[in-house]
Formats: sequence, structure tokens, C-alpha cells
Amino acid sequence: MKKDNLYRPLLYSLLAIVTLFSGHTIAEDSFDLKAAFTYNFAKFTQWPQTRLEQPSAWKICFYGNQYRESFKGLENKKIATHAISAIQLSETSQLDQCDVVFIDSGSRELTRRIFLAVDSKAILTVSDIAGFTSQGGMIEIVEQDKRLFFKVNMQALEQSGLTISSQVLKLALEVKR
Amino acid sequence: MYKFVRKILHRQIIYEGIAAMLKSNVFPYSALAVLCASSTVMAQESNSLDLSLQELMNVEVTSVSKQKQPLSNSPAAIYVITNDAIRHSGATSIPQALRDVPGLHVAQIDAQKWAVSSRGFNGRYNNKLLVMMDGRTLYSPAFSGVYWEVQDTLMADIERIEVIRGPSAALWGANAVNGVINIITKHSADTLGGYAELGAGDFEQGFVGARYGTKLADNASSRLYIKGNSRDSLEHNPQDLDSSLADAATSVDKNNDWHHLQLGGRVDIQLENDTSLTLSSDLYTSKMHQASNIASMDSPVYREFYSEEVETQGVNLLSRYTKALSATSEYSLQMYYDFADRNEQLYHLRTNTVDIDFQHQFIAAQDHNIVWGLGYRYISDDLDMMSILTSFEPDSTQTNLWSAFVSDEITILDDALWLTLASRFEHNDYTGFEIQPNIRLMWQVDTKNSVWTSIARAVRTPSRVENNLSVNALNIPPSDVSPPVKVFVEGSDDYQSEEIVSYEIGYRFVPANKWSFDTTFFYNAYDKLRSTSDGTTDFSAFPNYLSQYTVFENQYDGYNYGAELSSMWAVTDSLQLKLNYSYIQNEFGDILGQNTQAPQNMASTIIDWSMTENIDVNIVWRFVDSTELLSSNGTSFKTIDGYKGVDLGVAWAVTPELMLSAYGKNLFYSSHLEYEAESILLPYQVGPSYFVKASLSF
Repeated sequence: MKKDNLYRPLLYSLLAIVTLFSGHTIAEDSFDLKAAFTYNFAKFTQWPQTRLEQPSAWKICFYGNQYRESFKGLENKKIATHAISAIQLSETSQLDQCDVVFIDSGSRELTRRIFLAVDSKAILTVSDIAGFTSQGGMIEIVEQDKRLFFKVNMQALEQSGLTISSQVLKLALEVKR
Repeated sequence: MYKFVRKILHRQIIYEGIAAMLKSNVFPYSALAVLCASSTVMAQESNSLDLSLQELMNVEVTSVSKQKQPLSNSPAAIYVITNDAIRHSGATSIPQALRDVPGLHVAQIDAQKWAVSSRGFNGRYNNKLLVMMDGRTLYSPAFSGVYWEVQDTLMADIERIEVIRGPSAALWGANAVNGVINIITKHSADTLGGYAELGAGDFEQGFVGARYGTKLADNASSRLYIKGNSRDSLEHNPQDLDSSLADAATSVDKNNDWHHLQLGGRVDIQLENDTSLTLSSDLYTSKMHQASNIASMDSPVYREFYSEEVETQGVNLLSRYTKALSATSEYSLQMYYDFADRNEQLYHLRTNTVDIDFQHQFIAAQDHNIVWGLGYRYISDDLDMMSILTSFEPDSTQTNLWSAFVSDEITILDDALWLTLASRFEHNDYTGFEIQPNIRLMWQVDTKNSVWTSIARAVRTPSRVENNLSVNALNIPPSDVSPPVKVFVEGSDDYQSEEIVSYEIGYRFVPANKWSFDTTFFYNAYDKLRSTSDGTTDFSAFPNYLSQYTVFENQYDGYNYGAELSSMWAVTDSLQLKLNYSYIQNEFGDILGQNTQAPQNMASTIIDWSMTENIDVNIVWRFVDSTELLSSNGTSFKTIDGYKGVDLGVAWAVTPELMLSAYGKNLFYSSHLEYEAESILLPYQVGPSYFVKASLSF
């Protein structure tokens, strides 16, 4: 019995450690969150009437292989009664079809061409590239203190004819006008 | 599917469960109950897509990176070392970060020097591997190799290192015969703020690094860094030296320590939406000790040992202007200047390199992704030498390298089949025109399977040693019938480029997100490999000595073939296993022109475990098979025994800003020889070592 008493706390603490550590394994990282942010930005964007009248699905394009699952998850959702179709891109030649494009931080080298491709078109650009809004992008997702925030570049939005809900702007870390 | 867990709630329930369990007496049942409770909580996940923006902004991002080993979809044997992988391994220099890449043989020669190669031909002066950093070549053409000890940067600022095995000379240029290592540092917008690190151990006696990145304007960012380190000597074991030389070497100082200081910076400016400019510069100074041996006329071994302090300095300046012309067209113009000065007793070499590169990529007729470019490189060197080295050319030589390349990636079937035709055309002063073509085919069978194949030709252009230097490599002691014989190895204008034709096939299999397999099979046929002629004998100094002259020729050929595998299994989000393995069969007969052999089997297992949110553990076990290299007199082979080693690393994020870590390298197995430098340097043993490190972001 004595032996049993000695072992029990040890077993309990071991179990406690295992349970606590295993709990950690189901936590999510930033990929799903960034896809969710992108979805919300698209939802709160005022799209041109002509686009809303088209019955075709919203095309949310994204760069970055590791975002594949996160963005494919958006296909279960809807924006203003239209379905969503998530399209993975690797080149800059097929941007015309997109309504929204998410550019991952690994694709910085593509941004120059992407800016020319979306120039004055109603395509919402979202990225987690540092400095994206100051370089001509519309919405930049920023990580600070383990939380995600965002910056908005109004100039770029205006040029494309898109407007974003004031509720969203209120939450922005920084709005460039 | 896309869910996150409200962890605080989750943890609370577990805590309560454990508390209840501790009160109860029925251990197994209570344990089960807690596990059930915790799994119930796991099921009560809420979908992040149902959250409002405001709610999303309150969600904590975990520090666990889901980014697995990035799998490329390019038709080449490519492996990427991520910034995370570098951090986990605790690598303090670039060669250390290259260890355990599948198919790469990375061997430490002494405290400063490394031999790095893929698919054979390793050596301190491995001339068949091209190494680049941010578009600048790190390959020294005069002695055709990479001085790894002076190719450094702040490891935390490296974005990734791409390792391409096999020839890719069509894109990267001559000497990319067996592979290319491409070191890419972070954009300065990604390194804003301060970073400092400090560490020390038994072999790494001390290292410091600091960086500060700042925004210069809305469209411009910059960083400055400094890095310094001091490394202790490795141990020399007299048994590793040829027995005839052991006595002569006893009195020489075996010190091979290394002290390096480097600083640099980078500025990135977005001139327009579509135009960017990058400026960068690095400056280094390095001091190290080495013990060498050269031919001499002193009996009985006719070899002289000496130790020395080597000093080396360098500076480089680079600018790159990139402009997009349309959504599918972009060009860049890059210029750099590189100065390197290496002062050894044997030689004092100063090189000035000016390099200009233009590159344009565009999409034509929808299906053709075309990249073409022009390049010019001017190298002026200045060589002072010991008397055993002489040059037929003036001590200072100037060489010009002109190059042009074109690559056309043709989409044959949308999202399924691509054909790439590429070639490089180069003109160098030693061998004239060189053509290096390449054909590649990539087939994306489905989302899980892809196959690629490639046939490529590449050349290794001569170095100055092979063209216009004469080396008194060896003196043969006198015998009853002959006085001492001085053996000279001489370069020649007729010396040609070494050639390779390589056939590769690769298969990538990603059965599920948590698994990936990347395999490559290759067959390399080498021709015109370096040999030496039988030579002529000069009797003019008889009876004092004879002179035997041998000249570099291209008489050897051979082939090797093998397979490489890298595989990854993400057991959970916090536990990741990698297994890398390579096999090579070397078929070069007894040719003695250079090291040809690679270790037949190499294997590494890497375990990355995020034990808690704040503690990361990295465990590496590696095996490197025995291999053969040329012995110090160049007339026979020497076997380097196979070895095993374990690296351990534990990193604790005390706060998000402060990280404390401890590393053990080459543990659990005895000290051993990993490789030896070509002929003139003493061999040293690599053994267990440790260091601790603190790093701070601010």
C-alpha cells in the first residue's frame, strides 16, 4: 500500500503533463485565421453593382501552397448569396478572374506584377507581406503580440472603385488615406 | 474543418478534471474520465469562419508553425532549409545549417574549414558546387571553391536556403555541375526592430550578433547587422596522419581556431508600385590559425610543416533594380562588386569582381513562360606566392566572363504537364565558348503525385591553378639509384572544362497533408575529368635533384548513380519527423586526379517537437558512411571511416521577446575524422560540443 501511495502522485502528475501537452496539439496557427480575415474583408466590401448582378461564384484567389486547405474551407461559405470558389495561383497571368486575391508573405517577389495586374480593377488585395499597404496593396494583415491586426490603404481601394465598410475601418490598426 | 479551440476554456476543464481526479481514489477510471472530458472539449470547437472580424482579432495565434517542409513543384531535386529549421537546429554558420540536407555531404575539416558537396567530388576546394547569396556568387574562381569560413551572415536574417542537387548550369552558370546552394536573406521590411543574440560553449567560445531594422520612409526599409564569433581549435590525432609524416608533424602548432567579425546592411526601396530597388553590403574580417605542410628539400621526409595565422578580409556592394512592365513581364538589373583578400604564407590572393546581370521574364503566347538574361563578370586578381608556387602569367590576371541564357517553360497541358527547354551560352578566357543545355519535364499526375525528369549538360571551367600555375607538390626522397625528385604539377592552356551529362528522374508523393515523400534517382556521366600527364624529367640539376614535370590534362572519366529520399511526417501539429536518406554508387575506378567518391549511404532523422507553447526540442541523428579521398601525396586513397552523431537542441521562449536555448552537437559518439582538406593541411577530429544561447527581440 505504501508503494502505491508513492506512485500515485507520480502517475497523476505524468498524466496531467501528457494531457496538458496534448491539448496544445489541437491549437490552430495563423493560416486558417488569415483565410477567415480575408473572407470577412470580402464580406464587408461594397462590390460594384455590376459584379453583384453577375450570378457567378466569388473567386477568392490565393498564393502559397500552405494556405490551400484554409482557403478551400471558404467554399462552404457564401457572400451576398453567391457561392465562393477558392483558386490557388502560382503565376500572375490569371489574376483577371479573381475578385479577391490573398498574397502570402512567401510571394513578395510577385507583388510588382500583381499590382500591375489588378491596377484600377475591382480586385481586393489582401496580404501578410510586411509593408504591403505602403507599397500599393489594399489590406495588410499584421501579427502583433500573438494576435492578428490589419492595415488599410484607402488610396488603393478608391482607385479600384471598391469601398470597405466603416465598421471594418474602425477596427483597422492604421488607415492610409 | 477550419476550427480553433478556445484553449482557455479547454485548459480550465482539464485543470478541474485533474483536481477532481486527484481527490478521487480510483485512478484508472478518473484518468479515463479526464481524457474523455478533454476529448469532448476538443469536439466542441467553433468555426473561425463564423467569427466576426472583431472576434478574430481576439484569437491568439499559436507559435506552432504549420508550415511543413516546403515541397517545391519545380522539376529539380530541390530541398529548402527554412528560417525555422535553421533556428531549431541552432546552426551558427551556413555549413552547419546545410548538414542533414538529403544528398548533401557536409563535413567539417577543422574549426573553420568545411567540405560541402552533393553527389561526390567533395573537398575544401570543391569545384562542382555553385554557391550564391542574394544573387552574388560566393565561389572563388581563382582556386575554384568556396571559402566557407568567410561566407557568413546573421543566421536569423536568412529567409531560406535552397539546395538544388544535380546540374542547373543552364540557369545559374558554370560550375553548377553537381548542385547549387542559394542563400536568400530576408527583405528588410521583414526584419524591422531589434534583435540581439549572445552565446558561448566549449567549441563555440563566444558569439554575438545584433541587428536593427528601421523604416526609412513609407516605401523604404533598412537593416544593419553585426556578427562576431570565436571558435576553439579542433583536436588533431596523430594517427590520422600518414605514418611517414607523423614525426615531422609533432612539433608543429596544431592551433586551428577562428575569429570572425562581420557587419553589413540592406536597404529596400519600393520606388513605384511596380518598381523596387535593393542595396546591400557586407564587410568582414577573419583571423584563423592553420598548420600546413609543403614540399621541402629537408630530409628525411622532404616535407616541411609550419603553422601560421591567416588573415582574410572582404567587402561587397550590391544593387538590384527590378521593374514590372506588365502583369506578366518583369526585368531586373543587378550589379555587384566584391573584394576578397586572403593572406596565407603559401599565397596572398586579392580578387576584385565586378558582375552585371540583366534578366527578363515574361509570358508569351499564354503557354510560354520565358526567362532570358545576359551577364558579364570581370575578375582581376593579384597573387603573391611562396616559391613552391609560380605563375606563367603575370601575378595579376584579368579575366572576362560573358554569358547569356534562355529558358522556356511550356505548358503542354494546363496544370498538368510542363516542358522546360533551357540553355546557357558562356564565353570564358580559358576555354572559350561553353554551351550548357537542359531539358526538363514535369507531370502533375494529380494533387498527390507528381513526376519530373531532366537531362542536363554542365561544365566545370578551369581555375587559375589548372591554367597557369605551377606547384611543386611533392618531393620524393632520394633512393640508392636516384637523387631527390621534385614533382611539379603545372597548369596548361590546353586544359579544358570538365563535363557532366546528368539524367534525373524524381517522384513526389503527398498522400495526405501530414505526409510527404520526395525521391530522386540520378545517373551522372562525367568526362574530361582532371588527370595529370606522365610528364617529362629535367636532369639539369643532377646530381642535386631531378625535376619531374606533370601537366594537367583531361583524361579521366567515370560515372555515379544513386537515389535520394526526403520524407516528412507531421505526427501532430507539434511533432514533426523527417527522414532523409541518400545512396550513391561511385564508378570512377582508380583515378587519382581529384576526390570523386561520396559516402555510399547517408541518413538523418530530424525530430522537431514543440513540447509546450514555449519549449521547442530538436533532435537529429545522422549517419555518414565511410568514404575515400586522395591521400596527402596524391598517389593513393585514404579511407575516412563512417560516423554517427546526435545533435540536441532545446529552446525556451521565456517571453515572446526572450529566448534561451542550449545545444549539443555530435553527441554520444566518439571524436572522428569527418574529412580532410586537399593535401597540405593537417587533419582534425570532430567531437561532441555544446553551447548555450540567449536571443532577444526588441
